[in-house]
Amino acid sequence: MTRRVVVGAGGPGRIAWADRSWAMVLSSSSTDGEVALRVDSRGQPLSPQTQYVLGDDQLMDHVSDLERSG
Amino acid sequence: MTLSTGPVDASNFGVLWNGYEFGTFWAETNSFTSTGEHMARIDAESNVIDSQYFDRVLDQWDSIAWSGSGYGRALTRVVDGYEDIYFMLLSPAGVQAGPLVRLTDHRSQSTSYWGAIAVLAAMNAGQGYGVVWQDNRTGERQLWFARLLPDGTIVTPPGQVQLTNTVYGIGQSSDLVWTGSEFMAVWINGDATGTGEGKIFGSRISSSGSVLETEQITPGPLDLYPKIAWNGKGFGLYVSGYNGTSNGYFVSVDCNCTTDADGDGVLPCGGGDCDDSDPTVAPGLPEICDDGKDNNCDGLVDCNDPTCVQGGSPPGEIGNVRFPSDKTTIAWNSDSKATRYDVARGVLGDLRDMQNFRWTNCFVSRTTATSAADSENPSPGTGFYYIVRGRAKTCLLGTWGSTLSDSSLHGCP
Repeated sequence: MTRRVVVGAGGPGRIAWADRSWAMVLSSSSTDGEVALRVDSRGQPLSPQTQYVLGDDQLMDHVSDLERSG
Repeated sequence: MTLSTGPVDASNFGVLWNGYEFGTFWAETNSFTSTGEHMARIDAESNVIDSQYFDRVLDQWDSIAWSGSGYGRALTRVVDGYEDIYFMLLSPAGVQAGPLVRLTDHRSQSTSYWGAIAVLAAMNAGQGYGVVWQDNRTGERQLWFARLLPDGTIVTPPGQVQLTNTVYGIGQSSDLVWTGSEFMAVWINGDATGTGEGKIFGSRISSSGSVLETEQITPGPLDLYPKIAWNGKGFGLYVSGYNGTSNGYFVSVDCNCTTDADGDGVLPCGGGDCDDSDPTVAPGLPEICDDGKDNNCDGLVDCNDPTCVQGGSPPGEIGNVRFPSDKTTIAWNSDSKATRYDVARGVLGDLRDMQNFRWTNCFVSRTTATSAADSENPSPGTGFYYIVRGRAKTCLLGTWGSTLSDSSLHGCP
């Protein structure tokens, strides 16, 4: 069974599970850079502040990698 | 914090947490040519502990995974104009800790200009790895999988497993994750028109390297860049989709934890049944040492499983391996302690390339005879070599030869 939720503007992204939520690094259409965000296990954004702009460099074909620490 | 000293190949970098520090790698480039691979260790406070430089141009598409005691590294290397997938064991400090192991055969498994894009995933500590890569041996780019022992040896059977068989080649992006009991590989499946449209498909793969099921995960029509992770209960997938507009999607993919398909009483999720299509396979079952399966789901098949180790005096080295009467029947001397024999075969060109016997494959397993026929002819300009091992009981194994590292062979299980 799958469940699909829009979380960003498209383009390459990375995903990792961290502390009872999914963390992702995605392309951002608003900054032409990258954003980091977290969603719950159903894909709903965590509140209140869950999205962080990582950079405003011109977006290439790839985004940063992502990994959970201990 | 800047790690690199020059331009970085934006498609060739990664990071992982090994339980107490980060390991990160990247390739620096000069235009489209890699000028070397780098790895750095970073502590939890973002301080660089040290870094390594792999002085090798043209290596690319690296992937590293933490095994519990070191890193595994999969890479694409071009030698004499051919691309192959290699495995390299790295120490916890990131230093090469074992021989380079070639996983593909460039003579028959051609990759492409774009690289074979290996993705490595570590299993539970000490069990080894899984690796997916793409090559063009069928004429179209398809996805392949191999289960590796901790030293990079491909587990045979099943050996190399073809995951896809699409009319048009798959998209270049693919990913692989280990759940604790099985692998999940995802990729872009091109459609029949070959226009580049794609849907994300996935295959569940057992701990011993056999495909359990394959199914479509996303609806398309143009889904790209799949990345998948596991949270202990289900999969999280990121995918970029385009259907008039571009969106990034999070897709939760639940493991089917309500159906015990093989009726052995163990569900397949979260460290459960590693082959839910086979009732002779489940955690807690005894390893059957001669059925070619990982019965107890510890990632080790038959005699590779420590529960199959048997005491006693093993057969000695088998002597006088020869072709006594023709060029197709190989024979060897019997051994008083051996009840069965294994024959492994390799290509002489590989022996020259690798300077070891790691590209040797099991040719005949557990035969009671002291001869075996090989009707296959080697390619012009090369030849086969053969080595023979005796075995007693089921898993009391003799040696392939006193000058060989027995454990390094693609031996018979």
